[in-house]
Amino acid sequence: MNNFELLKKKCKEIKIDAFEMLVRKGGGHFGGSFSCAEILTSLFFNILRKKDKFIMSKAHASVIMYSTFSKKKIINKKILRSYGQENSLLGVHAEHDLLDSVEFSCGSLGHGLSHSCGLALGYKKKKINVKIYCLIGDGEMQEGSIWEALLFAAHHKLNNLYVILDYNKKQSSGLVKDILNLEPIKKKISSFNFDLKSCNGHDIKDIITKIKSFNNYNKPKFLIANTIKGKGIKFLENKHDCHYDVLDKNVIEKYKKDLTQ
Amino acid sequence: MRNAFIKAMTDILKKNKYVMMLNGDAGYKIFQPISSKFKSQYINCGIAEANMITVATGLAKSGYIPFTYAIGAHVVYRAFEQIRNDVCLNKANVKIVSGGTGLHYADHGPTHHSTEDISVLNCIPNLTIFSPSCPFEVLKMTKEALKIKGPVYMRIGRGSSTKSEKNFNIKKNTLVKTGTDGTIICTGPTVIIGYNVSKILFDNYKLNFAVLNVHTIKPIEYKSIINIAKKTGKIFVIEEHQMIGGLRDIISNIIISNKVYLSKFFAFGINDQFCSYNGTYEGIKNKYNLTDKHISKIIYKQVLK
Repeated sequence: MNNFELLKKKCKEIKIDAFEMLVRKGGGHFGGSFSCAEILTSLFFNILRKKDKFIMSKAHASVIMYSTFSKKKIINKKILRSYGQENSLLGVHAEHDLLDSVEFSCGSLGHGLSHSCGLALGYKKKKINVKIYCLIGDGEMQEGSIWEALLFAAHHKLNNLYVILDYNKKQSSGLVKDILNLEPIKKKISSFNFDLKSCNGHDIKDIITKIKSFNNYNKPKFLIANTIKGKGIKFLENKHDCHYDVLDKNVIEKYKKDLTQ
Repeated sequence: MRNAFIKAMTDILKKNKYVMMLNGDAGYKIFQPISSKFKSQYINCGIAEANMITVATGLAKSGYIPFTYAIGAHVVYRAFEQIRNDVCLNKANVKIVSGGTGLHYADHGPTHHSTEDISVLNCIPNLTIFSPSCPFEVLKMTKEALKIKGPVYMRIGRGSSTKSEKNFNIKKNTLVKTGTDGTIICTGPTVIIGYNVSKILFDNYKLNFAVLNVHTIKPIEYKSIINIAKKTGKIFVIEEHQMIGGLRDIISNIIISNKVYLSKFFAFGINDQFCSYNGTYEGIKNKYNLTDKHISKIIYKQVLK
């Protein structure tokens, strides 16, 4: 099994853990969590060095970050079982105060990128080689503060900032293009002076290769990861509103079968 | 007031290269001495207050101590969620400084008045709130903000000295003037009003009023408030701020929860309205009944009742 195959296997396990957490809880953000599982796997098992920082701006997908933390042994797997229980350290939106492996408490959309800009600027000023990876959602890009942050990052030439867009094309109540369209997203981001690339957000090899191929020393980086909301669970992939799901017990086994296949 | 802030920042930036000054393109030319002298410590973040506040949290996390400056109304209301979630929830070592608070920007209209900032920020956990009343306090409190490891909000509006500098202690409200007939409690720009009112009360009516300056809104030092309330039995609050959630409500809460009996409690401030007036700072205070003359007359009538 080559390295990418190994990561693929890990990603599947991460998804199964997250799935079980959501099942135990009785529901949650399936769609946006499963669309970014390969991105988190690529980051935590290949891209991130010990000193690098990861900011989960689309924090409603925290469940997949918890299961990735556990697979990476950042947190104990036993903690995962507490998800959805009283007094758990693992909330729907990850909180730094409860779990210090979480860099920054997010939850309301459009905050993580500005924080990442501050981190990137701070380390750059200190001449410390730290790279900041910030995962944002496409629905989140409708927030004005995201565009303030994009302006800031480019203006200050934050070349140590990597923005990854989980472009699953869906948001809570429908399709992004129907609600508040981001297209033409490539033109927009390039014109904001970012080093832009896009990839198949479910192909770990493609994600890693594209992140490693960024080579502009003057610009912040932006990776459009084309993804499918609810990826891995066939029933959800085709479902229009898979942003937040309350589980019907009859379909749990069917979902799980999709994931383990 | 703002010049005192710039002076304090100049000292701080010189002494600590990890202090950063972030500006939301406010203050016109007052930042020029800082931007020219401390190029690597100064950033004009542009007219993007929300981003500026959260950028500051990132800088704080990487080891810097950022001070942000913007017009109070624009930073507190627009970036409220950033202040609550990113600065306070994350306990970021960020110092948020607001300029032109209260009715300072008189004729700029209600969009530019920071007359609700205390109300909306006082209930946010982890935040220290300073409300200096004179350049000396601005200087002291800016330096104090640096010593605190965590979120600080400082509101700078109008203000002038009541010559009580020697009594200043960051941990205690300042007793500007002693008195036995009643107490005027004030903060920020109304401290000088309270002081002038106490002089008028004495000169015109031979009433001897104490004046207490609450320079720190949070955490509030309540012992001196209880003591002076018990001693004088009459409290008059003056604030250039909405009374709902403002100093009136803060003081009355302390009085009630400590079961202090008062024969009189009365407040002067903005009474649940936007202040529309095109004219001078003195003019707007006159329209909204915040002048020395008006307040002293009402206090006198209240005392006679």
